[in-house]
Amino acid sequence: MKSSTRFWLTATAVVALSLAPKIILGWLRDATPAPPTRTEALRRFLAEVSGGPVSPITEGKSAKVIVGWRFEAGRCAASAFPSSPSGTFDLLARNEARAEAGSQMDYVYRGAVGRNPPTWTLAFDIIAFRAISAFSPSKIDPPGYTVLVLPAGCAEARTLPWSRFKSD
Amino acid sequence: MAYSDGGFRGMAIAQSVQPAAQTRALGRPQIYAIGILALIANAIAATVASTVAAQSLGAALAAGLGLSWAFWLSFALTVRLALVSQAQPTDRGDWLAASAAVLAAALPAGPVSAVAATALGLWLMASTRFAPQLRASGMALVAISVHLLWGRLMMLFFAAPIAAVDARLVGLLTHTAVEGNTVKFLQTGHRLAILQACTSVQNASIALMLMIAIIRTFQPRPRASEWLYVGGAFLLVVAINEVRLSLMTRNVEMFELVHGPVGATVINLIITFVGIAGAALAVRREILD
Repeated sequence: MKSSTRFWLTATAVVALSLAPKIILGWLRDATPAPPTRTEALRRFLAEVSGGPVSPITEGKSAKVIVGWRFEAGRCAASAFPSSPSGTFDLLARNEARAEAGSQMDYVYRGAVGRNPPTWTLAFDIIAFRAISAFSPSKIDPPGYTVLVLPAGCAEARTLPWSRFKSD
Repeated sequence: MAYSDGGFRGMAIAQSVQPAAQTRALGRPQIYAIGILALIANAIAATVASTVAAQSLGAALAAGLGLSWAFWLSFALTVRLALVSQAQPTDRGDWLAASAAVLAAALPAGPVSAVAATALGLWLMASTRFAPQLRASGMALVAISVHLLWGRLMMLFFAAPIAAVDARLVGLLTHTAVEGNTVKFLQTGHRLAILQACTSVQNASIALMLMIAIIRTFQPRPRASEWLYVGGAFLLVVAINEVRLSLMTRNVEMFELVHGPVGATVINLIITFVGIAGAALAVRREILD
């Protein structure tokens, strides 16, 4: 057998064997039911604690993708968005804040509410998540924060019991 | 392979008396090439799988299986560099390193493969007993791992300020208002939001990875002067990207043209061309000889 043929056969076998654990875990993940998304978990939390109606904020031409929720906190009508994929800088939440003059954005992560996105804390958590979740046969959403868009003079949404919100 | 020193004849004679068993065994170039193949294949497996799942196989192939054509060319050149390196017998260290690479590749986490690719690349670069081409393949492998992992990790932390710098540069070109990572359109009230995928750093990393792979192919031993060309290519890609972003802010029609499929194809071709041209300039003597 030619040495080049021997090499490529060996290389193909090694690569295929090394890919096997990923393929098997992928099959297992496909077979397990997906847990509620962060968007749905946020809706359930807001419905439970806000005491008022929770309505979806949709995006896209067919308005089928739910990207956030409008809810009532005390006397205020606020909105909440799960953080957008990394590198997209919560564009939709920013558009919502820009549409209402005087609105401000707060960020909720691990039960704490702050004025700035938890970039570095979240980055380390994502690194840890990617290292650990790859070994899990379950589907798990990566960690993320929640963006609150609050009208001027409205602070009630910050005082919701965010420590009970477990999806971030 | 070319031996430029006077030891060629001695080596040729030595090779002719090697026992037949040696020619059947995998040599140093081959086992490290296998390690490189296993690591990169596993590092990109999730990206390829999700691309194929999201569209037809034909469309996925046309889209580069979720990766740029500059990546695939860099990958191929890196493996080739390892394979064409001088045939050398293996020792225990080679088998340990290659085995560790394959074991790391077999772990379910793709990022672990990219980390291991960095480690293997640095191992190849550092060892003076390896042939120049094999050491050069290590540098190209590190460049690929930077593109696949370390650059993206850096973006987890610094995407916002990098996008803000891009926005500031675009604002200087267009003389329009800038707020964070957004730039006001010239002719309408819209705002352009510069996201991570459109930043200059993200685009430049692709050209740089390709440049390093091509330069190492023609000149395995690094030269100080080549970093001038690498730096120049980086600045050129940044400038091209700023012009592209500025064009997008003219009006909505221009945004949709430049940001749409046609514009994306054009910018990918330009960035690939910059990488190839920059590399060709850096190794023009080796190409023309």
